[in-house]
Amino acid sequence: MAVPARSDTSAARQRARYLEMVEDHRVHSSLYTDPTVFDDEQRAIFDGWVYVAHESEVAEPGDYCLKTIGTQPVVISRDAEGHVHVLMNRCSHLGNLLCHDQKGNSGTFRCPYHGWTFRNTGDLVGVPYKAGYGPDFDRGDFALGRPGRVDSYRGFVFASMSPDVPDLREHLGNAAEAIDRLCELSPEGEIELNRGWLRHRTFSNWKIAFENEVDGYHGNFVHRSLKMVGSWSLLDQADVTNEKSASQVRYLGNGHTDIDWRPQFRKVGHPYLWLGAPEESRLADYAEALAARHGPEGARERLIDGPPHTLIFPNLFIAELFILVIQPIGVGESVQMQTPIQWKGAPTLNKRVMRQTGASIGPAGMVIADDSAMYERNQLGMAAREPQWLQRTRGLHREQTLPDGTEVSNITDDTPHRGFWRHYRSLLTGTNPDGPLKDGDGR
Amino acid sequence: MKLVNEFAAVEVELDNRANGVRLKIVDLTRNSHAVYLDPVHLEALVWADPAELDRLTDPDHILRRLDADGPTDRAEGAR
Repeated sequence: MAVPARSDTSAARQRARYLEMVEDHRVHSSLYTDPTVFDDEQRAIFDGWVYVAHESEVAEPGDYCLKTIGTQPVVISRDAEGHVHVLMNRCSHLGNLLCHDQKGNSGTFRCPYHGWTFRNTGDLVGVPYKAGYGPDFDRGDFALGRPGRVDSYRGFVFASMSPDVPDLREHLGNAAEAIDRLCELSPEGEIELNRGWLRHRTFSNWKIAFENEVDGYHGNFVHRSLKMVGSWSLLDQADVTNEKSASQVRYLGNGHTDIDWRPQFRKVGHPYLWLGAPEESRLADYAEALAARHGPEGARERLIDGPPHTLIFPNLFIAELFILVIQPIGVGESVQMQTPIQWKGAPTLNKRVMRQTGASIGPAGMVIADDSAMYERNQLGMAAREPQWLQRTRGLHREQTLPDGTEVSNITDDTPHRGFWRHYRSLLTGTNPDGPLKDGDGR
Repeated sequence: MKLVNEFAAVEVELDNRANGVRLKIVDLTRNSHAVYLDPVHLEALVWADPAELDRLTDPDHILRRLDADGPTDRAEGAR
């Protein structure tokens, strides 16, 4: 028998509440501090498409690794035939956590509590003292749980707890181009995530991290210390976050946001501004391999443009040289999972990426640590209940909508945040998909 | 050589005490219970289908064997 669903009255109350808290140009701070909001988000947002893992993390048959869908633990496994599975990390007997190690290799998962044993496809192999369950016990009734939908795009595996969602490709929409651009910097068209993960816990709401990663306004303040201790080509040579730079913030639709450095990189016209601006000769073998795939002109354009700075709603940040996954823990607690990107067939590039990311996301890194200090200050500041609203009005007078629906504006503007919040509101209210408020929206 | 993951722990070694070489596998979680596999047994494992391996990893099967044999080295006991 199904568990009773939330009543219509309660759904209507929720809808009215989020219409009130999320306005087009400002949002209420209780969205970051109220535990009931966090609970609503788990259903309305994290039960839809979320990024879970990259296929390269389970490269060999029998490989598995642990991930989350929102706050729910899952196991990603590769079976003997090479198929990748996303399984709920919960024994079908009494709900014990089935797998504990962050990664491993095993064709079989055995629960440590009572020994129920599963194949890495999720099928129940057997239970100890089976006769005690009587003659009608059917192993087929007790497979591990699975999300409603699982799909992948160029190795990036996504899952949706709800089966009732559009196809992944439709969900990704204009953001799929960012994944393409990322992969096409590999001479083999593929990336790998195989250098381990840094787990960075912050006492802040997950949305603060999401919004910050596409905030071009803070770079000149929070990351000023980088300029003080040394050179950072993004700021020094490319000056990407200067108010007068040609860089743009973008809202791509479906909650996806982006900072597009390309206009500024092209203006400066130097390859590798995204990589510390090394001498081109140091990466000659990589450039040659890339030219074999894209031709000399195509390769040079890609080396100027670099990898994307794109947030795929609600939890995947493709951050040029690294991947950052935002994991919500509670209303005031998140974990940022970070790993350097490795481009297949590009050993010289990859070596440099390891060094560069050690200075940005590593334990002694100076980028995410500085950002995270701001997240926590943000959360602490919002404990003060007045003034109640966060302002998202920057750039309203100068943003534009392109023919494909992408909204673009100056690097320091709030255009992506306004798009993020409209999408958020549409998911939490189940109305008015991705558009501004109109008459009749219950206000 | 020990092979350990979060679900099982075994020690594997080549055994040359018999007239031909065998692989000795000790279950480290069940006090020295061991099996000796000759090349023909090992070849069979190469070709075992998933259902056959499932039967072997079924905990009910393991417990029944454990209850029948006790935690001993079966080949040692046969000597």
